[in-house]
Amino acid sequence: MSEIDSTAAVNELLAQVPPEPRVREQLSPGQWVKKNLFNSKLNTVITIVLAPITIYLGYRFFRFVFVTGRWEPVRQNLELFMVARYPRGERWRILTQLVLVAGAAGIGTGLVGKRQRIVAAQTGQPLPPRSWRTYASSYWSIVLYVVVLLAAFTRTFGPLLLTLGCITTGVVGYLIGRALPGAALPYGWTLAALTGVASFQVLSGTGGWAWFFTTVALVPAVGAVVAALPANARLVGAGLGTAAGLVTVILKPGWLGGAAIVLGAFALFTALRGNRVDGARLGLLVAAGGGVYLLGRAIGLDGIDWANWGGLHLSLVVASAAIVLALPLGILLALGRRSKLPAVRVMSVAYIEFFRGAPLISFLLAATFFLGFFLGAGTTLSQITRAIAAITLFSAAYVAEVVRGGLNAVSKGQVEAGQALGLPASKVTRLIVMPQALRAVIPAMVGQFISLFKDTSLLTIIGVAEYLGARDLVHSQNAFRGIGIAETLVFVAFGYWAFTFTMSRESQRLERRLGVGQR
Amino acid sequence: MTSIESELRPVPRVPLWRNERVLKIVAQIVAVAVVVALLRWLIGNLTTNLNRVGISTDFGVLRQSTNFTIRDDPGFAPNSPVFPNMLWVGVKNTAIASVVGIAIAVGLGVLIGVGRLSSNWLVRKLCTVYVEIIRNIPPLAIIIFFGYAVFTYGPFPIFNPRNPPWQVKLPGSDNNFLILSNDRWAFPSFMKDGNVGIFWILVLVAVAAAIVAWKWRTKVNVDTGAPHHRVVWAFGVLVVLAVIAFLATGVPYRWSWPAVSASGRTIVGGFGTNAGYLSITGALGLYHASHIAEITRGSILAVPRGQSEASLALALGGFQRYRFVILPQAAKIGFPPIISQFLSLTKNTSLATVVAYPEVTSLVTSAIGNGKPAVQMLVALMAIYLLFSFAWSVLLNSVGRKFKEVSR
Amino acid sequence: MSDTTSTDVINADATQIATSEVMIEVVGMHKHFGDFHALKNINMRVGKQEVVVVIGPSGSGKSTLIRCINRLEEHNDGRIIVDGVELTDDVRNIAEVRRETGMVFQSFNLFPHLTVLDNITLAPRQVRKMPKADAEALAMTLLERVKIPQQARKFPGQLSGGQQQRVAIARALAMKPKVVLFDEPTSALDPEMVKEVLDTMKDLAADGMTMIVVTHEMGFAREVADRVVFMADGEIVEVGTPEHFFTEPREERTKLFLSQIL
Repeated sequence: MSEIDSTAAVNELLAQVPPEPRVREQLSPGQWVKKNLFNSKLNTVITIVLAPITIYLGYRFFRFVFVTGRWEPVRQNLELFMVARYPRGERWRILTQLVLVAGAAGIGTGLVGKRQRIVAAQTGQPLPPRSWRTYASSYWSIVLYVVVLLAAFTRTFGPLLLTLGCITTGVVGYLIGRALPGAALPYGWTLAALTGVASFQVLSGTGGWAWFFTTVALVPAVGAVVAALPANARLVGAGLGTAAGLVTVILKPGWLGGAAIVLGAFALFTALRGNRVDGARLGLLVAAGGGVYLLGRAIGLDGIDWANWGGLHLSLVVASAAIVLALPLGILLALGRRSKLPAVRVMSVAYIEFFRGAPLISFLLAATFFLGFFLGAGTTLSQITRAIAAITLFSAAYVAEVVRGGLNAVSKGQVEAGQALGLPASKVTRLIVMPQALRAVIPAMVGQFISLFKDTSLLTIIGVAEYLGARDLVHSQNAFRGIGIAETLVFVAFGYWAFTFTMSRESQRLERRLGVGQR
Repeated sequence: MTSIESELRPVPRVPLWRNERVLKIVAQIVAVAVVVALLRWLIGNLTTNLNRVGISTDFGVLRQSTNFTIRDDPGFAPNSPVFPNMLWVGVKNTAIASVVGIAIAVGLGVLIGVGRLSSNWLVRKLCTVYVEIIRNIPPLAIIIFFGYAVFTYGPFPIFNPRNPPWQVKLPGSDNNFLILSNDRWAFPSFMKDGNVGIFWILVLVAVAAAIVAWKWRTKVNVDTGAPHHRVVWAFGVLVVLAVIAFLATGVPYRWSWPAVSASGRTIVGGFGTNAGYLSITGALGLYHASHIAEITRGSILAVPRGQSEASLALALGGFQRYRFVILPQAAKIGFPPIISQFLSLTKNTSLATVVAYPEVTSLVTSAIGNGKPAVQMLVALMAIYLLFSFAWSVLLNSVGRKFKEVSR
Repeated sequence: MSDTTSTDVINADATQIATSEVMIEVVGMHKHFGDFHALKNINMRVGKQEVVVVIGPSGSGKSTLIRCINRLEEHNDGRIIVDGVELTDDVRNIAEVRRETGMVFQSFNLFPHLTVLDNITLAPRQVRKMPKADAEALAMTLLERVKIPQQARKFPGQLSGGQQQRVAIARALAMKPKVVLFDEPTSALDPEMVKEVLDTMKDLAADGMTMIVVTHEMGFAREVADRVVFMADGEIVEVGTPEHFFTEPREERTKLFLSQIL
């Protein structure tokens, strides 16, 4: 797993190397061959030896792919590879989810582009030129994968329609994001976040903890609303929060209601003490949280039974969920590791070194066998929940190391400047250090996600039929026992490669852009 | 006492709740208390629930039998089912697989990394294709590929009594040089055939002589400026003296050629390995080679260009430039990420469960499958890997410190 | 030995400061870094609206001294009192001293992820709870005072060194401090930009701000300082008005230092 460290380190090193200027020499084919293949005695020998071998291997490979390969196991079982034994009747969830994800990604990309344009106009610095070639060089692998899937392995029109639907939603989302005026950007972010949250809730249902994530998605919009309100209305907003908390504690006593009333009362208290803005924000969020909770209960969408879920879809969703959950924990651990309080530092180091020292498989096994015993008596957890828990705790340690690198990169003078201005330590960290640190580690974070995605392949060992493990489902059928072993493996590897290649190219590109940019 | 001091108020007492030092201590006490409380709750639940279900929670169970034996264990420890021996065999297997895997990964990786910088277009493209493909697939997929597509269902003949494996014979004799099948491969090895003690003592003498030769040639180089060729000299002295010793002690080793046993179920003689071992070492070697290739390439590129320019200005030739200026600096840069690759490879040997190589994780999994309590087994497993990690960090820190001293 | 020296020095000082007019009082202050005794028995008084320039060779402890005054470093012995508030372990006192003192750093330390305007308004909004519109109006006024109002929406990376340092001065002034501490403000600047920053500092002094400036710019000391403090090896060696200091230094170490730099 510490290949993160190596990939990140390498990317950092490579980002400092200025790109070679493209010298477009016009060489005739003969000249080119002489210059690149036969330019020294050693190279001549090497070329003479390698060229035939390469040609032969290439020939054998293409023959395998197009002629002798037995691809029926893949073609007949494409569903198993994509979603394993997900119940037919619930397939609409996956389709909706993919479309919503495309929409959220589109809106998000549009908003980022819009913000860049606004900042460029404001600072007078022109945007760096971006050609379609830059994107093509990163995303061609996924495009190739989808094209191969659609062309060679699907048997109905469904997947094609799904792909077209996703593309359409993505483009529409992008246009919406780009078209928003500057003042409406926070609402745009909330829209993107809500779409993303909804895409997950389509799978997990609207009960449980769904309301929490929906409320978090509302934060930017609430902030914009509060900023636009006059001072008295803000007081009302804070009061709303208290009222909502009161209603919640009456309807649903218990620690949830207790938390609601405490937060609502705190919102009002803060507003009355003079900080109307924060009070209104908190109050409106509490009220929104209550509303969302009730809405979720009213919709009453149940989560799916995860037992039969699997395939590439599971790998992607589990990896995404794990990185989202591991991020806050990792940031906390990184801060703890840098703390000046020895007790906090020791505990953070202990956690990080423990989870980095042992392989992921041992934690997955531990989660399988006795995670349930750690919680209250009689809790039953699905295998996938256990896997997500283990992967999250495991990744948090690596995320912590990545974030720690970013924190170290922020110079001490920044902290001193904040202190000299009278900012308390928490604000110095939150407003000055964190934004700089997190922006600096985005490429390494993408590398972390790549590793996580590859590590989901380990779920096979604990009995979850994710993308790699779906092969066992395929080859356990009588018709395909022992047939097409290599072919299914190549197919699975191709899928992993397509996604990972794109992500690693994007992370390299980000590294170059962020590193050279604003210093 | 100066006149200034007498005008000042005495130092006011700082109330405890605003005292910076007190607050720091209180914060730590609270943090520790919260974590300890959380841990106690978790572990309390664990023991209660385990006891409720009737699984034992003490660690004495680690001394008991595991009710299974290991096939093909490398023979280092008696093949007994008692758990500590089992763990010991597992640890040894993990170590062997790690070391061999690392050797393959480093050798191949450095080569490919340098190849990516070659001036030969074909070499460059091939190396790039290798790295960009292998780096992006999960290691488990490569392991399964080796284990199943290459070995079990692959082109090699199935190893059973009715089916002879491929036997590559030495020309002109009946001895096997290589035996290949889908489950076992065998290579020639050595067998003791006489008094080896004296031989090894003489080898030690040869090593000492080689060191003397090294120092002598260095001195010659320092005194007269002639090229020292000390590697050639030292190595030459060592080899010549070792050969003489070998012959003089009556050739105390002889070849051991592998052969299929009479029952057709196993291999006698030579050095036999099974598909699991070959899969895991080959797969991890290939996978981590791709990462080490990237690290190598990044390290060489990260040496500032001014270094090359300065070497050229000093009229150092191409090979000298690499050997004296660029590679040492690249090695220093690349050292920490490469060590973390070693650690990563060691941890990835845990994936050998899928190819039935009896390293420590698969043994523990089997033990749990045979009814041993999971908690103690897995705690022992994690402890073992933590020890491996610790060993690698110690190595990293101590050698890294030497590098740092040199640079300052 | 140095005990009596610094006391005599201060007592022999031409400008006697009445207790009611004292802004900063440092009494018997010591600072250790491990075994290294960085500051030895510092006694110093800075009056309101006074401009004190601290000079000395590198390693003499000048920066450490002013960093102790706003608690970026913690002193080990002695007392530091800023406008009546003593620097102790009391977190409330520390916060108040930091609010009332501003600092300008050698390496500017502007926040690169915020615009110039946001850099200046951050502290007033977060610490003094100023509403956004008021804070931005204040920031624009300050930017005009340091003569770069048109850079308000740019990022620090787009500005020259001299402009960045002037923004840093504006940022410190936004908190309406009682004292501004300058830690070698022009040492990291290209020569052509030093003048614009020094001019800003001269204007600030003329407006009546209390300033303690650690610098190597002797011209600035001569023109603007009310008092010059010379430090070497962690102690205050000599204090005097610029006229007396540059023309008739008393101590041997002072004479040696001046001969090397003038």
